[in-house]
Amino acid sequence: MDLLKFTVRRTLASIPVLFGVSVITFGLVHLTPGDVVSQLVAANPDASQADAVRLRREFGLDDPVWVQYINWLGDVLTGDFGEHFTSGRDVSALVWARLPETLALGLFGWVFALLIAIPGGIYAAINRGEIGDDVSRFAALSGISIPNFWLGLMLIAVFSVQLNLFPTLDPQEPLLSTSMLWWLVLPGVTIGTAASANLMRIMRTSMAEELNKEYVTAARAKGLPERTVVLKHVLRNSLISVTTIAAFLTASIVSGSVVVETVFGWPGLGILFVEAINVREINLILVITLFTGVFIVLANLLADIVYALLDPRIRHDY
Amino acid sequence: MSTERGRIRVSGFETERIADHDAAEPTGDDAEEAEDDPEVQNRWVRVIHQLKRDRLALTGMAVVVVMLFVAVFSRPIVVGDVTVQPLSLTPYDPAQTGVGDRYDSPSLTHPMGTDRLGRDTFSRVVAGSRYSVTIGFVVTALAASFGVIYGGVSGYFGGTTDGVMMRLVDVIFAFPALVLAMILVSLFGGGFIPLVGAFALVGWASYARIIRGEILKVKQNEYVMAAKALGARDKSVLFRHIIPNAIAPVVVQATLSIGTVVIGVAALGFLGLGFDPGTPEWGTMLDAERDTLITGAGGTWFWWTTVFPGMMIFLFVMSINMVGDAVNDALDVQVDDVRGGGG
Amino acid sequence: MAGCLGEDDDDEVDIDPALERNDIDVDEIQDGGTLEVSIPRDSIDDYDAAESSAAEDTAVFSLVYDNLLTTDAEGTTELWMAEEYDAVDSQNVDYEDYEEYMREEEIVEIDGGIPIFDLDDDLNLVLLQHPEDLEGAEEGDEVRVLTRHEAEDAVDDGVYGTQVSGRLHEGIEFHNGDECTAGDIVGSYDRYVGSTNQGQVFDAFMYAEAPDGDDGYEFNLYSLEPDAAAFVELPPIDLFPEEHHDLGPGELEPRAGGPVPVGTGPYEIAEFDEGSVLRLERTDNYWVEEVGLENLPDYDGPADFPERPAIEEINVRFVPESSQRSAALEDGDLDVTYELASDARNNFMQSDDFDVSAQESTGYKFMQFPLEDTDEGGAFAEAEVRQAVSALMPRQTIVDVVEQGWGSPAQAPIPEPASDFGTAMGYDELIEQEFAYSVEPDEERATELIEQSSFEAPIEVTIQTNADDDERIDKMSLVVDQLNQSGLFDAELETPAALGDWTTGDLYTDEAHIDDAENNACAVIGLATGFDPHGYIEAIHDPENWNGCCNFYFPPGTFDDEFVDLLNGCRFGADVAEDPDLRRERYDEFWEAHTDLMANTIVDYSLTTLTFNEDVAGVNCHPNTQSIFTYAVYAPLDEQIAYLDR
Repeated sequence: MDLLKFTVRRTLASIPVLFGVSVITFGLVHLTPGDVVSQLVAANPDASQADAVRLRREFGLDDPVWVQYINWLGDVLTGDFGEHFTSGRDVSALVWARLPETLALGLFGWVFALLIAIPGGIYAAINRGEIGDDVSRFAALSGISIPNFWLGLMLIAVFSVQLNLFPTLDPQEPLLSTSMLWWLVLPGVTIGTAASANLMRIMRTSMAEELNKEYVTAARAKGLPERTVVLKHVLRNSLISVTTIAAFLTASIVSGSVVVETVFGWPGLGILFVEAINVREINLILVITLFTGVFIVLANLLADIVYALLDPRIRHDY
Repeated sequence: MSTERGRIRVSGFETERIADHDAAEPTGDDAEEAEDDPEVQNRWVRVIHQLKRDRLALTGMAVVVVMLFVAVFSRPIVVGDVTVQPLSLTPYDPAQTGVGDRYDSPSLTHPMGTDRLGRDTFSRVVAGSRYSVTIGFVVTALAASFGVIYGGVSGYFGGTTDGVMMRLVDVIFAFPALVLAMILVSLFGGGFIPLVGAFALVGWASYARIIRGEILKVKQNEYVMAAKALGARDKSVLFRHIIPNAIAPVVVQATLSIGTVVIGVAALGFLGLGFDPGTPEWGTMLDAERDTLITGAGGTWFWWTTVFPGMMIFLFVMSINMVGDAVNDALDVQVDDVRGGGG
Repeated sequence: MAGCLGEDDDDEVDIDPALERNDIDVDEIQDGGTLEVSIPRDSIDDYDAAESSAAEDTAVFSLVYDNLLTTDAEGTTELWMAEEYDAVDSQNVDYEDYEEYMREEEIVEIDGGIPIFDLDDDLNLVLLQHPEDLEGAEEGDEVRVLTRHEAEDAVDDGVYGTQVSGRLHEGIEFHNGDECTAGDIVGSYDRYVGSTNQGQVFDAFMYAEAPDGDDGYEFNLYSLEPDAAAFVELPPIDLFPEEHHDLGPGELEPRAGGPVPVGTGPYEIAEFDEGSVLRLERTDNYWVEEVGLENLPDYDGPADFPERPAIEEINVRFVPESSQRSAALEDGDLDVTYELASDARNNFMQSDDFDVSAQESTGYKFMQFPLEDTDEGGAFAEAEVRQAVSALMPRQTIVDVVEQGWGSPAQAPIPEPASDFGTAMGYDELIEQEFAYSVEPDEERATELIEQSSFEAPIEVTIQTNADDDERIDKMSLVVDQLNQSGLFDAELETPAALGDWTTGDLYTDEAHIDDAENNACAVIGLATGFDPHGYIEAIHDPENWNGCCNFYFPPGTFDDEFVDLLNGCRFGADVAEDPDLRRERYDEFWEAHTDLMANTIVDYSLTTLTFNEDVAGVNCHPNTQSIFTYAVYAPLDEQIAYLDR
C-alpha cells in the first residue's frame, strides 16, 4: 500500500508542475512578437488589415493574455485543447494522428540503443582497463558527442544516396512490414545513437561496480564458472539501474525526434512542433509541450516506482 | 535532444526523497573529505594528476585550447571603433562572396572548398568556432553561477523557501530542453546574446538541483553546525563552507554540459532558429548546404560543405567530453549523465 | 566580389530546352497508370478550400475543383466551365450611389483602427462603409453600411460597378452526380463568409444571381466598383455542390469527420490519411466528356484529342525537404516533383532519364524604399539615390548564381505572363524602353545619379530582408557586395526576423516609413500576385493599402494625386473596364511613372518548374504553382496532356 500512496502522491505533485509548464509556455509564446495571423497575412496581397483584425477576433487572439489563458485552461479542463488556427482542426486530433509515427521511430531507436549498449557495456566492464574497454569508452564518447542532425545527414548521404541501400520515401506499407522496418533503420539509428552511448556507459559502470562486490568474489571462490557469475548474478543486478534509466531514455529519445524528424522528413510530432513554432500555432505548441511534459513526468514516476520496487531500501522511506 | 542531457537522472525527481534519504545517511568519501579543507584541496591536486596521465583527456584539452585560441584570433575583434584584436587567421573574409567559384572542391587555395556563393569554407568554419565555442563556455558559466546560487539558497534555507524554489526547477525539468530553448529563441529572436540567454535559462536548473542535493548532505556536517552555533552569518556559512565543498559535482556537470550546449546551439542553427542564414555558424551552415547532399541524377555530392562544419562540431564536443569524462572519473562523483540524442 | 561568380561557363546549364514545350502525338497516348507526385509540405494544411491558404493545398485540389475560367501557359484567361462569359456593362458609381441602399449599423468595437459590426446573420458581411460616417467614428456610433443583404436591392435598381454575365455548359456533373448549375455558383460564395479567404473573394465581388433560377445555367456577377479586372476577380475560388453550401468555413474537412471535398474536376479523392496518404482517382463522370471538347468555345485543337486525362490515379506524397524530393525522383519513388534545389534541377536536366519543364511565373521579389524626407538619413527620399541602387543591382548575377539560371532578371515592372492586359506595345518592346531595369550593374549611371543627388558617396544604406529565406538572403548578399564595390554606397544586410514577424511587427506599423527613412533602410520581400497586371502595382503602391500587404512605406499623401489617379485609372473606371486597349495604354503610362518614381524596384521573376522522369510523357509546366499538376495532366485548351509510358 505504501507504493500506492507514493504513486498517488507523486501524481498529485505533478499537477502543479504541469500547470507551471502551461503558464510558462503560454506566457512565452504570447510575449513572442508576431502571431499566426501575421503569418497568414504577411505576404498575401488578398488579405487586408481588416482581415487580420477579423481573424484575430475569430481566433480569440485579441483578448488580454490572462483572459486567453483562463479561457484556454477552462477548455483544457473539459478536454478541449483548442483548434489549430490555420486548419481549424482540433490540435489534439493532430497530435494523435502524428503520435504513432514518433512512437515507431522512438521504439526503433530504443531497441537499437539496447542492442548496442547492453553487450557493449558488459564487454567493457569485463575487460575493464584493457584495450577493449578503451575502445568502447572512445566509441561511447563519440556517440555522445556526434550531433544527431549531422549524423543523420551523413547517413543519408552515404547509405541512402551514394550506396543507395535505403529508400528515401515512406514505402506506404503497414507499420510492421519488412520494408517499413528497413525504412526505419537510418532515422532509428540516428535517434538511438546518443541514447545507446549513454546506456553503454551506465551499463559499464554499474556492471563494474557489481563485479567488485563481495558476493561475486564469493561466487568465484566457490568455483562457479565466470560465465555463470556474470550472466546469472552480475548482469541481473546491474540491469536494475539500467532499467530505471531506460525510462528516462525513452523521454529523451522522444524529444530528440524534433531534430531527427526534420532531417529525415519524418511526419511525426517533432516536425509538427518545429512548424508550430515557426507559424506561432500557439494551441499546438501548448499541447505538444504539455504532452511531452506529461511524458517526462510519467517517465520519472515510472522510474521511481521501478526503483522503489527493486530497491527495498528506498521504499520504506514512504 | 541535446540539452536534455544531464537533466534526467535517477536520483533526481523527488526532491524530498533526496533530502530525507541522503541527509539520513551521508555517504562515504564526499562527506568525510568535506570535513577538513586540506582534503578538499588534495582532491583537486589528485584530479590534475590524473588528468595528466590520461592521454585522451590531454588530447581533448589540447584541441579545446587550440579552438579557443582560434575563436579569439580568427577575425579581428572591434569594440566600438577600437580594434582590440587585430589578427586575422582566416585567409578570406568569411562573408565575402565570390572569392572562389561556386562549389569549388578543396584545393590549396581553398582547403575546405567553397560554398554556393563562392565563399571560402575554411574561413567560414574557422570563423564559426567563435560562435559555437564561446556560446558553450559563456552559457555554462552563466547557468552554473546562477544555478549554484539558486540551489545554494534553496538548499541552505530549506523549508518552504526550498519547496517553492524547487517547484520551479521541477517545471524547467518537465520541458524537453531543446523544446524550451526553441520557444525562448522564438521569443528573443536569433543571434548570439539571445541564444546565450535561451540556453542559460534552460541549463541552470541542473546545477541548482545538484548543488542543493550536495548541500543537504554537507549541511548535516558537524563543522557547519558548529559554525552556525558560533554565530556565523548565513551568507558566510553558505559561501565559505558549504558551496566550496559541494562544488565537485558541479564542475563535472559543467564540463560535460559545454558539449551539450554546443550541440544544442548548432541544432537550433540547423533548424533555422539560431542565427541568420549566411552566418558562418556551424549548424546554420549545415542547414544552408543540406540540399547539396542529394543533387539529382548524376549529380556530385559537394561533401565539403556539409562534412567540415559537422566535423568541427563533433571535434570540439568530443574533445571537451574527453576532458569532462576524465574529470568525472578523477573526482569520482557520480553525475549520472543520461543524455538524449546529440541535439 | 572577385567577379568570377556566375561567369564560369564550364558547368553552366542551358535552361532553354526546359522552357520549350514537350509535344506528344495523340495516337501514342497510353491510358491508365498511377502518377507519383509530391508536394513540398509534410501534410495538407486544410482540405477545405475556403480556409486553405497554402499554395501546396491548392496545387493538389485544383485537380478536384474545376472553375468557370482557366488560364493557359501564356497567362491568358480562357473559358472553361463557362460556355459564355462577358463583362457586359460597367458604370462609374461611387459610395454616393449606394447611399440610399445603406443601412445603419452600430460599431460595436473599434479594433486596431478597424470598426467591427455585429451582423445578426452569419452569412452576411459589410461590403462598403460610408466614408463620411467613418470619419472620427467611435464605438457605439451608427454608421451607414452596405451589406450583402442590401446588395440585391442596389443591383435590382441597376446600381453596381461592373456586370459580368455568363452561362454554364449544360450537363456538368459534380463527382457526387449532382448537376452543376447557376445555383451552385451563387451558393459557393456563402462558404467564404467568415473564412480565411473571405477577403480574397469579397474585395471586388458584390452580388451574384441566377436569372433563370438555381437550376438554370445563366448567371450574373456584379462588382462594387467599375472594374477592368472584374472578369477574373468575380468568380468564386472554387465551386461547391449544393450539399456543401451550408458547411461553415473549415467544416469541409474529412480528417475531422467532415465530408470529402467534391468538385467538378478530373479527379476525386479516393483515399486519405493524416500526413502520409492522399490518393486521387480519375472521376468517371468528367464534364468535358459529357459536354464535348468541340463545344468549348476556346478549344481549337484536333477533333481526336482526349476528353479526359490519361492518367488513372495520382498518388500525392508529402516530402518537405527538397533534397529528399531529389532523391525520391532519382530512385523512381516519384514521377513528378517541384521546388528542387537549382543544382539538382540542373543535373536532372542534363540526365537522359529525367527532364525539366519550366515556365516564367508570376512570383517576384521587390525592394521598397521609404520616401519620407527625414532630417536624419533620408537618402531614399531622393529619387536619384533610389535609382542608383536599382541601377547597381546585379540582377543577372543574382539569377545566374542563386537560381542557377532558373529565373529571369526583372527588366520591366511586370512579368511576361501578366502582360496580356498590361502593355499595349508587347512585352518585347516594353523591356526595350528607356525606363526598363538594367540587368547588369550600371556603375556609370549610378555614379551620375549620386552626383546629381545631394548626398556624398559613400551613402550608408541598409538592405533588410526576412531571416527565414536563404535564397533571398543570398541574393541580397550579392546586392550588398555590388553596392559596396561601386564605392557609392556603404551597404549592409540586415535580416530582422521571420517573414510574418518582421512585416507585421516592424513594417506594417505607423512608424516604419519614418524609422527606416532615418536609417536609410529599404525592405525586400517576395510576392506572387497572379495574372492581372494590377497585382504588380496595387499591392506595393496603393496608399489605401498602407500597412496591408505589401505597402510598408507609403501612407496616404506620400504620392501626388496624379500618380495615384494614374494607378487607379488602370483598373477602376467604366472606361478601362469597357476598353481593354485603353487599359493597356494606361499601364504603359504607369510603368514609366513607376520606374521614374522608383518607390519600388523589382529584383527578379521566378520560374515554375516541374522535374520528372522519362516515364511521363508530355509534361509541361504552368506559370502558376497552384495549377501545375492539373495543367500537366490535362489542359485541352493548350492541347496539354501527360501520360505514363512505363
